[in-house]
Amino acid sequence: MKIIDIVIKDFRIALSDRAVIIELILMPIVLMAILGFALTMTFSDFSNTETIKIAVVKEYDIEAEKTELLEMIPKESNIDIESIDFGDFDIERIFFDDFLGNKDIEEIIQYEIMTRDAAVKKMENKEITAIVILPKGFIKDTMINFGTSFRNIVDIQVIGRTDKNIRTTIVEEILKGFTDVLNYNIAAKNTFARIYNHEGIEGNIAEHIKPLSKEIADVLGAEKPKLKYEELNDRPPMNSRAYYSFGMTAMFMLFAAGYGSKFLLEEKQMGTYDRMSASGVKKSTIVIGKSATIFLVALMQMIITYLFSSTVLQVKWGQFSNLIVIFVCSAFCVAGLGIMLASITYYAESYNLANLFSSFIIQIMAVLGGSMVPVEIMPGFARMASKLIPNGLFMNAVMKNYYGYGLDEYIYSIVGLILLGLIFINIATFTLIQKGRGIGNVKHTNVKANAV
Amino acid sequence: MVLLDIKGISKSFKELKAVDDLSFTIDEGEIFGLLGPNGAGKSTTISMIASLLPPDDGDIIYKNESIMTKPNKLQKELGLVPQDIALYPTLSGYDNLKFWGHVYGIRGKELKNRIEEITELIGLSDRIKDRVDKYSGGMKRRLNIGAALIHKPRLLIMDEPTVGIDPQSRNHILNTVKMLNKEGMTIIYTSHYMEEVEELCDRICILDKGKVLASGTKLELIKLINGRERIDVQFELLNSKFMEEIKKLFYIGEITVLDNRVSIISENAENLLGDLIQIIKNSNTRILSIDVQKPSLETVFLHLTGRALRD
Ligand SMILES: Nc1ncnc2c1ncn2[C@@H]1O[C@H](COP(=O)(O)OP(=O)(O)O)[C@@H](O)[C@H]1O
Ligand SMILES: [Mg+2]
Repeated sequence: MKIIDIVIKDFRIALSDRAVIIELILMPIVLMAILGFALTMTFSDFSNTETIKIAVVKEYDIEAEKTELLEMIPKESNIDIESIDFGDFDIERIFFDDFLGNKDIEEIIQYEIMTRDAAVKKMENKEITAIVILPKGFIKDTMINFGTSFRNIVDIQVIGRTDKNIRTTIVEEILKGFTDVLNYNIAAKNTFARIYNHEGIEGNIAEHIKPLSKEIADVLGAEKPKLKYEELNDRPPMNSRAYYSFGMTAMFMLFAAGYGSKFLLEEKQMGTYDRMSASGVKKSTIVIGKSATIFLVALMQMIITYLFSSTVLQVKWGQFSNLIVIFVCSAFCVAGLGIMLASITYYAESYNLANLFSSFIIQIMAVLGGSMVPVEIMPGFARMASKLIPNGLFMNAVMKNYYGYGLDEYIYSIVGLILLGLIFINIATFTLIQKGRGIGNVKHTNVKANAV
Repeated sequence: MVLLDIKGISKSFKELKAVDDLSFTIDEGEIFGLLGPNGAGKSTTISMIASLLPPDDGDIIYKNESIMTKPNKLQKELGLVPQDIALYPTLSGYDNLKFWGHVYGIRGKELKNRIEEITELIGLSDRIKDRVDKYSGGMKRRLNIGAALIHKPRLLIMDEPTVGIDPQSRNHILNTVKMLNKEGMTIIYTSHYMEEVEELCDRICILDKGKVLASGTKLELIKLINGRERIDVQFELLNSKFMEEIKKLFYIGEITVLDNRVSIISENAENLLGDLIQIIKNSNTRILSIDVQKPSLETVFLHLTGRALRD
């Protein structure tokens, strides 16, 4: 109950200070609007650089299916069996080399051929995102579709993870692109063949198929599957408004910690700390109350920047319930950071660290955490550092959520935030215990109250 | 009935012995004065009573129980008016009182009534909704007292509650103290203004350098100086001839010199005044004033320490 009283009181104090409102609430809003509109650089190039790993399972038997195919062709057919050259029109080569081996696709998808069982196992271990199954009859049916006027359905199956996130969708979409092109060409071929038949021209269809196979590869090569996935699920590509909404929220939550860093020493110097102690309030109650205040201030900041950017700047933050998880964990981490700084400040009886943090350290952390420019274009050590600081972890989580990834795809950021928070709290506790031991040596500020 | 029993407490800060084997008792219903110059150890003593500092030695007994083992009992019934104002400057007076009420577990209607009573008592009714940092020094002091009264404490400790304020606020505070005492509150009043302590307190303890110099009722203390009077002479420029002459008088008690001011304590003030004027004439020096002081605690302190109470 007393903790709540302390939190309410501290919250009122925070809101009664205009400088605090400006620094913690107004600044991030103004900055995200200014930066969002002023710097309209495109963020799509470094928005997503991670490749997706998939497994390809071959359920067909290429030799058997080729033989079967040849046996199927009736003797009286006008197709010249001998001239069908599997080397020229090899669907397997087209799929693996021209399609999956295509430079653009290689950047997004890395594949490995394996058995179904091995693939399922890898999927369970979350080592791969999806399994692509080339079904029984894949070669035969495709060839029939190309070589005859029959249409056999070729069904390439994509098995995604149960949590069906955007990566699975990307694989599905890209493969759909492949089958679309295939079907388009088959349709074109059939029309072509019908015209030949109609006109009674004897001809070698296989000869005409050759350029078609090249066309498949060309069309696939020309197509940028990336653009496609950015449009998935109504996810807009990253833009500067969204980017700086995230960036400024990540940066200014550190100011909540900076604000909190003065909490304990200030309370001590105001004499209210002793007054509370004299009335029987425990030290731990005061410290927990202060931490809770920092937590709430940070959470309030995030909610306000969220509301502002999603309404005024039209930024879509992505899945809401996951966002709440990110916000709460980040606020926890910030509260830990704030109370650690507050404890050290209290221990040192000087605001040096607190001031250094708010005036300098935050700026550096903001850069490292990707609040100014994306982490991806920064040197390796910075990318490393971004994974060790609260705002960097926040940024990563919030961006992933924006792109539509599930919670499991950035779980390390969430865990990182919680772990960091716990480490901070431990340091704070340790520092306060040390201070408690040396209480007799606390310098006393005997302020003489003179002038009225 | 003894409410609080201080038994030989000591407290050192590194080399400095701020409180040295201090003992006294507080009876229920009295106003007890702790008088002493700056640095005498008054605030340190109070911090120990309020469980803010652990004593190095000794014990403090509240209602027959040591506060070392059971601090709660006293904490609940103690109202502490700290020497330095301990309030939240950016909150209103009202919100300050509300918070301290909550800290003592007072809520709702009861709290609202209590705040009204206290606001009335400290004479801040018209300004209570204003922010504290807009208050004058005297108003802050009064609110500082009000915050200690919110839970109707049984024992009120006031640490120099009148330091640095206007006479009007000071009178208001002194009257408030008398009134609270009349209603039955036990009060420990700390000050280095002997006039206040003289006016308010039933019993007085004179503290210097962490030790008790003397204690008792005002009359008992003044008896210590045997009804001797004190004459203060302010010179334009004090010369040695005067000092030589005055020391020759056989009935002189102590002589204290501070700049051009000389304080002389004597049992025979009538004679002294005549002789003094003669010596002044003879020693060719000009004086600015002569003050004949009634026996007071100031004189007692001077007698006991050879130093003035105020610096
Ligand atoms: N926390 C402290 N650390 C070191 N010295 C202190 C501390 N508190 C008080 N003192 C010293 O102890 C002595 C008594 O101080 P204090 O109790 O504040 O006196 P008073 O209240 O009578 O003016 C002074 O010399 C003061 O400087
Ligand atoms: Mg003091």
